[in-house]
Amino acid sequence: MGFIHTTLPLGFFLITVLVVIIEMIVSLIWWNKWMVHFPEDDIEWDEKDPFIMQVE
Amino acid sequence: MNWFVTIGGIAYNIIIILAVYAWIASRRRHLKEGEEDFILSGRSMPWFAVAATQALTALGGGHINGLSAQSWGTGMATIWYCIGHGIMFMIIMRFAGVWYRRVGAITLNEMFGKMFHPILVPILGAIGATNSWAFITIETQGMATVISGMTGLSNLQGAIIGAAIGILYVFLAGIKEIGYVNLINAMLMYLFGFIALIYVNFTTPAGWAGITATLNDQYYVLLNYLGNGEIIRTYVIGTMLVCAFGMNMSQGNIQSCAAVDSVKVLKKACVAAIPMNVLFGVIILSLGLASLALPDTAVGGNGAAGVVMLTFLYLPSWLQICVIGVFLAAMLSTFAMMTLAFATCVVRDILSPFKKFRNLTPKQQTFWIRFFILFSAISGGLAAVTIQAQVNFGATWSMAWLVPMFWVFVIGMQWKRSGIAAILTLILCWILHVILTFTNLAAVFHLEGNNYSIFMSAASLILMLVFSSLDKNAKEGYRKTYMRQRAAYDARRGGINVAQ
Repeated sequence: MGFIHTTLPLGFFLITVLVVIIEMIVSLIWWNKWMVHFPEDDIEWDEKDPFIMQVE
Repeated sequence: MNWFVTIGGIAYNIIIILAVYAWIASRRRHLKEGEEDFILSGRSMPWFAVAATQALTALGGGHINGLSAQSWGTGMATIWYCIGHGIMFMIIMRFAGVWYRRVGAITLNEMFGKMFHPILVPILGAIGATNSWAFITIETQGMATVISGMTGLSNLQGAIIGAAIGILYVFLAGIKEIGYVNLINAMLMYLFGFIALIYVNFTTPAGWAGITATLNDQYYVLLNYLGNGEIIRTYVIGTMLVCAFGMNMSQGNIQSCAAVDSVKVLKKACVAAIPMNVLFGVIILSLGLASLALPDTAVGGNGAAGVVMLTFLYLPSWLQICVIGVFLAAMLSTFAMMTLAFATCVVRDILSPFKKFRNLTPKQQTFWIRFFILFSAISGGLAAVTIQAQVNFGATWSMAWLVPMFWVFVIGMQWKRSGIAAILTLILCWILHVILTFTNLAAVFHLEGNNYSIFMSAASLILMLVFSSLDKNAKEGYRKTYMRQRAAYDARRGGINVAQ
């Protein structure tokens, strides 16, 4: 494989698609497995009484 | 010279901008939306507009002129700049941006101020504004180069035209305008980009097979996806690190996350932004490498000029207009978002302590944001034609200044928050960066070239961990603080009411 010699543009495109798919999968794994979720993540922004962190 | 194509490319962008504005204005009249819209779109940006904004803000002159020029030096391996952006989107839309939205922050400087110490707000605001301004200048240069190169107008005249359209992109309706124009431009970029690649196969003497054969004969390493050892050491690693860990701390890249109505919007946005940004690198790098292989475009002297020559020599007129329109759109989108980011940092982070700028009404805020959009566009445009080389060096150099902010943020979020540790870490890393710039220290570690980001990552991680552990007054990780304050807020409101 060496430094992965390929053709232009098709080989270049296919390898990049593969890399992009890997990134997309990692991002979904990140979302589902590593990220902390809170119930309020599904709540829409409340213009009248928004939650804004205060300085402590 | 080609006035027809230039005017066509400019008209392409103006038509899209005005059409989107007309739609937004009509919706606003119908829905009676308020002035807050300008910087946060009423916190109602849909996932596809966020994805397009993320993808296209990060895709500007650096991609159009920078990647095509870089392709002659590092070939296909230049794509790792784009792949690094994919990692950046993950960090923004799976981590940092999620937290900005959760805590209700509008700027990341405000976030750092709340997490660590208020003094960081104007300091990081100044860095953010400067970083944004540098990119405004770079994008204006790119537009000036394209417009003046095709019309014979002076660089200054090209910059004025480009900046004027860029101002239109954001001035009319702020981030909402940016979001929807970006969405349309993202679709058209790929449509015309792929059509251009197909045309090149049939209009060049030997098609892509001939181009690949020429590159194999004369520039073998440029067709290696990983380049070679030298390219990996001096380009790939440093570029990936700065894109992944530095660019996620740029206000222009996170502002759209603060504009979503809930965190779940970012889930879809991230998955869409990655291919939307990264795959465009294939298009522009393929065109750049083709311009190197073809004798009549190689005379351009560099990949950026070569791609423009290739567009005019091998594509039909209608496609030339579309491709030049796409190139300008990519630069305009970054220009627009960076002027908005600059203005947001200045108004909310630097000037807000002053009486005149405290507690601004939405209308007043919009006025001052627009004022500083104009200020940054005009000053950036002038710098684009007068101190071009200095700004280009400064912009690339300053990207590594953002890297320590990322690691400080991670540690403060996940482990401990220490204001003094954050301030000391950032200052010492920035001093190290200056030392690296003016000495041969990087060469001692065989890391000369584009590798200051490696030093910044290592130094900030180590220093922040050490200083945080030494600070007896360090507070709990910000995640815990969030959970506590959120629980109190929900209790006050009588529990959580999740939208169905």
